[in-house]
Amino acid sequence: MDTIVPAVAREVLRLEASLSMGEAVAYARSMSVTPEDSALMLRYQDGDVTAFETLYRRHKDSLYRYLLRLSRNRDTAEDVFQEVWGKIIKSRHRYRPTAKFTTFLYHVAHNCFIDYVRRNNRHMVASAMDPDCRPDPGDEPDLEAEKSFARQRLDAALGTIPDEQRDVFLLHEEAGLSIDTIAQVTGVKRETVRSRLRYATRKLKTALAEPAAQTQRTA
Amino acid sequence: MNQDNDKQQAADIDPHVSAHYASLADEKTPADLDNAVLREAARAVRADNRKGSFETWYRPVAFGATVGLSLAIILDLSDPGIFSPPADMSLETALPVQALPETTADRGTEPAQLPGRQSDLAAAVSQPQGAALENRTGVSDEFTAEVERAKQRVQEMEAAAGTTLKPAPNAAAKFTRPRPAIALKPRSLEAPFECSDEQKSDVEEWWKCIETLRQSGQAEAANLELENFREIFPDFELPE
Repeated sequence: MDTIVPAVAREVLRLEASLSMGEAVAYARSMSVTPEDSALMLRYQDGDVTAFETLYRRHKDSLYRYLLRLSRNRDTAEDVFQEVWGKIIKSRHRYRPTAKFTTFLYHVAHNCFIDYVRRNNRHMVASAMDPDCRPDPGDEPDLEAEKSFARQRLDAALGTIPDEQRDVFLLHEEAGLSIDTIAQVTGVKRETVRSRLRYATRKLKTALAEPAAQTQRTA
Repeated sequence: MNQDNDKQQAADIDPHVSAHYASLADEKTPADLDNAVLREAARAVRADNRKGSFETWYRPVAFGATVGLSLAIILDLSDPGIFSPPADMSLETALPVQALPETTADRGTEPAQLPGRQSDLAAAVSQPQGAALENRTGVSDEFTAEVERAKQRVQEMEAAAGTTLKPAPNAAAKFTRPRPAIALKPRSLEAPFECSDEQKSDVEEWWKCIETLRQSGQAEAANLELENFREIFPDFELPE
């Protein structure tokens, strides 16, 4: 071990000396680049559980928020969340990195949610404001209370827009998907996605601009 | 094209709404949910590993077992003892064996193609059935003696009754031939009884035996015995 560390250090120094400043920066960047999602998924295919853990930690919160706001019900969100990851785990051997992993993940999530709603034949009651899934308020309770109030308004505003528009908006905001990818995930035309996103944004903007009391009444 | 798409996308989105949403949407997944998913992922990999290790050994083992079983079956079939009849084989047990290869002969199986005892059996079948039966050491002698004893009994009964009991002209010959009715009819499990050779040697005893069978509810066996009885003693006057 003692001989290996100086050898590595010497190698780094030799590389740094041989590279120009720009090249050295690029080299340093390449050393710190996190592995691609598809690479992690391929590693998980080969039995690397830590790769899956990295992949999971990278996407879990945004997927959870997408499902939470889409369903507006914590239990439903958790059920579908678990189902989505279960499907990804089961179908890991069939996964091919032809598209971005995010597209694959949200496509599965979108379909799982639709299946879940059809299966249960119920529309979820708005309970996304469950305080259990909120982060720890920390040392500033006033700030957190204000934030909580703003979040309630956002959720109420999201509740006023149709499901399809909310779906498109959340796929854009949470998953960071482009319009083309959203069209691919939801199986609708690109122009339809654009239109839904435009309407959703406009309605949310209007709802969020309203006085707080009025928003609460609408919710 | 991509730039156009980006411009269109930017036109559809309000940056203030996006920023507002991003600042508020900070929910985290519950820890138990995380644990459940990660546990499932690890379990799936473990199952894969188990499956993988199973695949490494089950094919050679299955192949070896198949070869071993095949060899065992071949060796067992080539053993001459497998078709040899037991030492105390009586006529009744021997007859179905006689009837069995008929179908083999009908199919045109050459006796020479069968190994060991099977070829002997097939060769025996290719001969007339009576001759085949006589080829069996001890069996034909036993039948001849039996026929002689029956003849004596009949003569004694004739002498006692003062009448003549005429056996069928070919009755004695029938003893040396297999009885198709017996050979072809399968025995029922619950009625395996039939009259013994000793009883058959005496007309009266045989008839009593048939009646006993009928009284005990074994009508099928009784009918079979009666049929044989009538063949051998067609002139015997059956009591009411």
